[in-house]
Amino acid sequence: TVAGVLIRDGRLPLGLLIKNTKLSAREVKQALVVLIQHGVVTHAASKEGAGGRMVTYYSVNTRVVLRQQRLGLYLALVEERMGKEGVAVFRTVMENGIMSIGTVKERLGSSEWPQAAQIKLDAATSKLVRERFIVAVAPGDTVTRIDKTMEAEAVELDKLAVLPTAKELLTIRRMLNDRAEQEYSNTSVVGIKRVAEEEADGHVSKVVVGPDGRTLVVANGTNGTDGTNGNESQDTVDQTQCFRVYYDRLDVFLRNQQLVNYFADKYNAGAGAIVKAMLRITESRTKTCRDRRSEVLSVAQVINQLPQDAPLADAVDTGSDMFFQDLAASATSGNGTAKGGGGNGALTPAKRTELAFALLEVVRADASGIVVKVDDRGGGQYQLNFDRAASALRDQSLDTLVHEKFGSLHARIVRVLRDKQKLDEKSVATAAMMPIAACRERLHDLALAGFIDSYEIARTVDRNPSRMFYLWYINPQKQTRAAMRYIFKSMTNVFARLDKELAARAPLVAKTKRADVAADQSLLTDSEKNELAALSAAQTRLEVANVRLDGMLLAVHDISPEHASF
Amino acid sequence: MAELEAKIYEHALKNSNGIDNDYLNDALPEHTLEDIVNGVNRLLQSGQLELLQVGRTILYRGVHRSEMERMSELTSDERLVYKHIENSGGEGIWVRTLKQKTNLLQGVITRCLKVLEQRALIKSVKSVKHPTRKLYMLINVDPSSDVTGGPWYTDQEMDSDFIDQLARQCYQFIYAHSFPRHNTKAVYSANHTGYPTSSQIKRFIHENRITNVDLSTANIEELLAMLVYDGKVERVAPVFDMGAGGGGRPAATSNPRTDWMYRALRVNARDSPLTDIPCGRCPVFDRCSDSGAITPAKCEYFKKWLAF
Repeated sequence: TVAGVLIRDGRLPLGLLIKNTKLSAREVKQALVVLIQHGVVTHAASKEGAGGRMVTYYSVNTRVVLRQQRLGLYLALVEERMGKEGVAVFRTVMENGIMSIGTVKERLGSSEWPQAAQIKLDAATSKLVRERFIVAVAPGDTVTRIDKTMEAEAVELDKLAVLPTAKELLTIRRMLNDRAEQEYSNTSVVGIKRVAEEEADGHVSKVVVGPDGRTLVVANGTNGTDGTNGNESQDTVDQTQCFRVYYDRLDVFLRNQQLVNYFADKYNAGAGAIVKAMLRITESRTKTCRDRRSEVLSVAQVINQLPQDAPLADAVDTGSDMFFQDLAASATSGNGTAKGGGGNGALTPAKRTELAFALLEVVRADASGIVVKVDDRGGGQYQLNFDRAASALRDQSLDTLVHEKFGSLHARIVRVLRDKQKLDEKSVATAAMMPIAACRERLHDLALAGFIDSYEIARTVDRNPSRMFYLWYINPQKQTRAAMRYIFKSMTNVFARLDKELAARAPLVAKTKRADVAADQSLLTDSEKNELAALSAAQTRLEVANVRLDGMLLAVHDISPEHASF
Repeated sequence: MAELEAKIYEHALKNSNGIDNDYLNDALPEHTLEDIVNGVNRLLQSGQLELLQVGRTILYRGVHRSEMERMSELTSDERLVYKHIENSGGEGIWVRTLKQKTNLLQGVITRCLKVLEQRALIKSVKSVKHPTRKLYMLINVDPSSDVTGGPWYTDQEMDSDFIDQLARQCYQFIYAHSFPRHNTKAVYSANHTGYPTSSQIKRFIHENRITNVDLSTANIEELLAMLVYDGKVERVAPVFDMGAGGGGRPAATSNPRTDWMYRALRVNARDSPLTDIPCGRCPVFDRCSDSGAITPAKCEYFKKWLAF
């Protein structure tokens, strides 16, 4: 109720919140504490009135609310990457909003686990923190972001003796923006320490509990595979530091999944495997979807990252072209890091390298320009442009939407306008090869739905409508908003229908929760069992529809670097 | 004098682009300039010569006897209108343009056009670009492709069936050359130059007699652009030979700037999540809300979809 009122009425102080929710002050405060704990609500204090009293305003963070739809996907992702221990820690932190690692372990009862299981848990926790699946919480994290920005601006303005000019204000805002960017690009992970220790005789250190009784020290191997050249490294997670889940980081993985599907659909599974390998390498350095470009990757890195069972055979036809064979030969003779010893059945390492080179060039030559070659050193240095990736995924989603909703001819018009920018209806009809009357009708259908917009150029001074040029064009922001309006409304409809299906069978559901029925399903009649099956099928269908709609929302809006949150 | 006029007339007829005073002076050295000019004036009066102006140069053109006979039956206004229509050639001329150029009254122009049409000297044609305008041109002149719309128009209407069928044939040809024959799941490498170009597609259409309509390379490129906008094919730039250090790469085609290649895209039948649910195609989507007559809870489309 509290969150609903805040969403409906916007930013409110406590008094108005109590009045609008018609709940007691205690209940509202308790609800606010829970919501702030989970990051759904943020607070900000501002001076008001002549006396300068501080009033705290509460507002809802709608992004966090909308993320709830993706929790299932996030958990599946964490389990895939971090294993059962990792997902247990992640889930505990998620369910409690903010929690310290020590408390998480208490909840899981890990002190009663065997030593090996405890070590695995600690390793998983360290990995979660290092990979930023969970991040340390600072006191300022619960303050509304825009208030923080305004406060920082006010501090800078106070330093000035007089009121600022527009230029000075712009300079201050730019400086604050740069500071925020610098803070964002800071790669140090809070809450974890990596300390290198040298062992004189080089043997593996034991796992011990630290002198303070809280810190567990986990030692890695000494064969230099962790890059420390024989030094041991220890990951120490501060047991008292509070952590929260970092959804924006997880969106990177979901986006990467969509990118892999994009290339796999457009070319084949081999191309998808190459892009997947590239994205895997960049994942640790990509903070959120705000990053516009990845780090530069070498071909050797990509080939090493490819799994042994990557479907490279029969993925690309290089013919008798010596170009890729020469490249493969020079790369493998140069550094000798080609992975695999013929373990992929028919593919020799040289052939595998050759195919990988060829596929890299295929994805590089793609019209979307997502994979970019930055240098030719060592066979090639590549980079991923996430800006273009977001545009490509967004355009693909929107084109499919227009195609399904209106038809192929409307989709053709949208592509013409995307290519040619602003055109009048005659030019659109000529380019799209359709009769002008039909073209006019379709242009108006699309404009009414919000997918295209018109731009007027007057030919006369009096701006007579009959003597104007009307140019049609694609406004990407408007198009995104139109698509989001459809998506959100459809999601609302699905939720409403889900509620209705549950409500219609509420007595039956209550019956299944009874202890005797839960123990013995044969107490239910056949018709009741059929009803339950129908309910289950309807629930599955509606929930899957919502997950798909959310996937579309991700592609259309959330992964764009301009809109991605951090 | 008559002999001089006959000679001038003969020279004028020989040079259909027109002759000027200098040419006549050189061609008839035995006559003085004054005599030549007088002869020209007499021919102009009798209608055997007509005056042309090309820039600042005055030229004379011979009028054939048949034309003279036709023109002799016409009044001067009609002759003026006829000349303007003749000059417009295959493009045709609009009545309003005619009025601007001749400065004649609307009624006069209408009468002249009626007479000329009755005498089967001119015809009216509709333009596909401006369907409400009537264009006039000579009866024996073929309208240009701008007016008729080119091969895509039949009887002033766009022939969508013809375009779709031809596009389908082109797409099948491109698809057959876009993926390796031995393995359709594979793709060609990035420097493959075997994708079809517009000239190859044109040759394919011509050799297989897919259509009797004469199609130029520009027409084929319009059709291919339509396929690109349909998301079925993509345009691929041919590989350029980067010179030394290329290591045996194939050389570029003769005209790399214009010889674009076309590659078919794998079109996967994927539906949008929005149209997966009934809301995507609901005719009353905009009127649906959580209260009132149309709500998701009462929705018949949802009922059928969930029961399916």
